Amino acid sequence: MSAQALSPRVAVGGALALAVVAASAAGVIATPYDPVAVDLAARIEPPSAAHWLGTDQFGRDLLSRLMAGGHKSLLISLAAVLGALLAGVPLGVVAGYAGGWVDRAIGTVLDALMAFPSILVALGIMSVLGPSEGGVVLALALAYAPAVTRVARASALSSRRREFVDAARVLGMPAPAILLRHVLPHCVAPVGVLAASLLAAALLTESALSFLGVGVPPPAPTWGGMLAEGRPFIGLADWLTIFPGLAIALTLLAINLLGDALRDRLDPRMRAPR
Amino acid sequence: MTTPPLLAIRGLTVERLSPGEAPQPVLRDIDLDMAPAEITGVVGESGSGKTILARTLLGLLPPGFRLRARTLSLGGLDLAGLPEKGFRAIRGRDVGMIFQEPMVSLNPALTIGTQMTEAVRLHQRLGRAEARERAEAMLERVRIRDAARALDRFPHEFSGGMRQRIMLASVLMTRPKLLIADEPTTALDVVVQREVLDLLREVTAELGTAVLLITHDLGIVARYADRVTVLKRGDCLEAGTTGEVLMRPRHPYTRGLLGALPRRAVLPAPKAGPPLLSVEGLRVGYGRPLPWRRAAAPMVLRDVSFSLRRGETLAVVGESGSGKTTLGRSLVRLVDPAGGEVRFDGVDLRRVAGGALRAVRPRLQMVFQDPASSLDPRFTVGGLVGEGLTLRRDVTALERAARVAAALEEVGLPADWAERRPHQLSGGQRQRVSIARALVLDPDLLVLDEPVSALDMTVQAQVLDLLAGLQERRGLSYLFITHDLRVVDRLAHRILVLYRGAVVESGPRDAVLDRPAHPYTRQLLSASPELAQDAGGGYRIAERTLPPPLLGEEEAYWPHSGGVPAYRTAGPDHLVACRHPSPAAPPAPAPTREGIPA
Repeated sequence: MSAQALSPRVAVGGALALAVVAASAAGVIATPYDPVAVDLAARIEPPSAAHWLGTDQFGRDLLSRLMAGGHKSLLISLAAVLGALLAGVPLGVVAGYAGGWVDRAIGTVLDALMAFPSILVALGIMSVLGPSEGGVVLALALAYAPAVTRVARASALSSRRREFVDAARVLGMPAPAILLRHVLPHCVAPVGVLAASLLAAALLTESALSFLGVGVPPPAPTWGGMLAEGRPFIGLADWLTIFPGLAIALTLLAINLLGDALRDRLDPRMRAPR
Repeated sequence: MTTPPLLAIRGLTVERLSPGEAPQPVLRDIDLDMAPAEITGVVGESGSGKTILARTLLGLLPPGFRLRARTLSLGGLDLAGLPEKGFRAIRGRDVGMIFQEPMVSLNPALTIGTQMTEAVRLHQRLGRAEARERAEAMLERVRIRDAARALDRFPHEFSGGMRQRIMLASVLMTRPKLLIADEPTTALDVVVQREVLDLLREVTAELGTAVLLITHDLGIVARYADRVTVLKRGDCLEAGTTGEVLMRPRHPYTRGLLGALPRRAVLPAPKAGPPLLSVEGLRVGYGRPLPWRRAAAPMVLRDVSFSLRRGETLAVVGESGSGKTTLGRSLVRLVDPAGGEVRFDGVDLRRVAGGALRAVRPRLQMVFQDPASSLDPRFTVGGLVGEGLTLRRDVTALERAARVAAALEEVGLPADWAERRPHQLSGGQRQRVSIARALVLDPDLLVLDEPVSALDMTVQAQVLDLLAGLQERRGLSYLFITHDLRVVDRLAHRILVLYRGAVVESGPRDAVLDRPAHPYTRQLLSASPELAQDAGGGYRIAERTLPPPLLGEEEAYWPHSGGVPAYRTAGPDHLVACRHPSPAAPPAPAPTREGIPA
C-alpha cells in the first residue's frame, strides 16, 4: 500500500483530481459570481483581481462558470460510466458464462454498435433525443456499454474454463450463485481499469458534444460548451478557450494517472509473485 | 575412467541475490562429472534446484542469480567466467536442450525444416540445401516417416510424442557434446514416453552425446541413466552409478524417495451388495446434440459399461484422448451424455435435472487434477471447503465451521488453516483442501481425476495413503482416473482400460496387471517402468513379465477400426474386447499410434 501510494504518479494524479473535485464541489455550494448572471458592463474582460479568470462575451465570470461546469461535466461522465457498467457487466458476464446462442446474440448486437466510433453513436442518439443532460448520460452510456460488455465477457469466459467453476457445479451450486461467487468477482479488476479510462473518454466526449451544440443545452455551463462559446473570440480573448481547455486537460491527466496506477495494482502480471 | 570427463563440475554453488537479504543458495557445492555418450540422471522434487543446474550449464541463469565454482568446464572450456557472447557460441552447438513441453518449445509459425536448420546454418554456416539434407537424415534417424515432407509441415500437424522426437532431432543437428533434457517426457503418455526415451538413448549413444536427464521419475532413471545424482533443496545427497544408488541407497532421502514408489497393496474388500454405480452403454459425443443435427457426431465415449460397489476403487487407465476424463466428467454431469444409462444408488442420473440433480450432487463429488485451478484464489480455505454447505439451508454458520474443521483434520490439515488462502499452501496441501471440500458433503462416490499427477513423488505417496485411509474409514467408492499404472497398484480394486473411447479390457487389478489380455493393455504395461524391491532392500528395474498373449492382434477389438466389440471372458470378472466374429468387417490393421495423417 505505502510504496504504491507514494509514487509520483499517484501523488500528482491524486492532487490534481482532488483539486478538480474540490473546485467542482465548491461550485455546487457557492461560486464567486452567479455563473449565468449577465453583466453587460463587464464583457470580455481579461483576468483581473475582480474576475480571476476574466469574463465572457456576456460578462459572466469565467471562474464561476468553470466551477459550476466542472460539477456538471464530472457528474455526467460518472453517471454515464456507471450506466455503461450497469448495462455492460451483467450482459457480458452472462454472455461469457452461458456461451452458445446467448453469447452469439449479444455478440452480434455489440459488433454492430462497435462498428461505429463511440462519438458517432452518441451524436446519433443525441440528434434523436435533442440536447438534454439526461440524454447525454444515456448516449454516452450506450456508446461505452459495448466495450464494458466485451471486457466482462472475456473475463467470464476465462473464469468459466477454470476448474473451480466446475468444482462449484459439482457441489450442486445453481448457475446464478456461481456467477455471483466465482465469475463476477474475477472481472472486477479488468472492468475497473477499463472504467477509469472510460471516465476520461466520457469527459472528453461530453465536452465534444457540448462543443458541437448537441450536449447540455445553454445557458447551463459545461466545459465543452464554454470552449465552443469562446471559439469565435479566440484571437480577441484567448482566455475564454485557454481556461476551459486547461480544465479538461488537467482532469484527463489526473484520471489517466490514477487509472494507470490502478491497472498496475490490479493486473496480476504486474504483481510480484507470492 | 581414463578419458577426461566431458563435463567437470566441482563445488558449484548458485545463489539467489535479493536486495536487503542474505544470498539464498539454490545449489550448494555440487560435484558432477559426465563422460561422452553417458546418460546422467538428475533426480529431485520441485525446489531441488535441478532446473537451475540445467540453466547454469547453458548460461541462462535468470537475473539476480550468481554462481561460484572451483571447476566448471565443458570439454576443457571454462564456463564459470564465460561472458554471454561465449555462451552464445556454445549454446545450440556444444550444448543442446530439450524442454518439457513440446507444444511450447517449437515455434508454431515456422515449418519444422526452418526450425531444424536454424542452428546449423548459424553455427556451421551450412548452405540451405546442405542443411536441409542433414535435417532430413536426422528426422529419419528419429523415425519420422516421410521426412522430406515433414520438413515443410508445421508443429501443430504432429502429435506430442512426434514433436518431442522432432525436438530431439533438431537439437542433435549440430552434434552437441552435451544434451540437457529437462523432464522431456513428463507431458507424454507412458507408451509414447518409452518410444521417445528409447530413441534418445539410441541416437545419443550413436553420436557420442552425453545426456543430462532431469526427471522426478525414478523409474525412468533406473531404466535409462548410467549414473544418477540425487538433489534436494540444492544439496547433492547422493551420486553414483544407477545400479549402486538403487541397490544400496545410502541417504535416507533416497531411501524415502524409493520407498515412496507406490507398490501393490492389499486392499480391504469392498462391501458385498448391489453396485452403488452402474453404467450401461454410456455414450458421449462432441458438442451439444441438436435436433436438426442427426448425423452421427464423433464419439468421445462409445458404449462404456461398468459397475462400482461401495468401498471399491475402479481405476480408469488410458492415454490422453482415450476419454477417461470425459468419463469422469459425464458421471458428475459436467458433460451431458448422448446415450446410455447411469444408475447411482437406484437413481438414473441421466433423467434427473434441476433441483433433483442438485439433491444427488453432494453424494457424487469430484477431485480435480490441478488444485491451483480448482480452488478459487479469492476464497479462504474455510470458505472453499464449506462452500457446498452454504447451499444447505439447514446447516447454520456455526455448524458449518465445525464441519469444515472436522473435514480439514480428516485430510491431515490443522483446523485453524481455515483462515489461510490457497496460494499460501503447497501443491499437496491444496489437493488435501480439494479432497476436504468433497468430503464435507459426506459423499458416497468420489471421482478422482488424476489427483496426484501434479505432485512430487513423496507427496503423491502421502495423498494416496490419505485416500486409502479415507476409503477404509468411510466406505467411499472411488473412480480413479489416471495414466500412471503405479498408482493403480497402490489403490485400485478393479481396472477399466480405455482406448479411443471404448473399454478394451476390464477386470480385477491383479488379473489385468498380471494377465493382460488385450494387446493395448500389454503395450501399456510393458511401457511403464517398474522398480522392484529385492530381499536385501535394494531396488532394480523390473520389466513386467507377461504371460503369452491370450488374444492376437486380429482377434482383438480396436476402436478406431469401427464396429462394436464383443466382450469375451478372460477370467473371473475379467473381460476383454474382441472383434465380432460375424459380419465382414475388414481385418483391423495394427494401430499406427504415431502415424502422420495421410
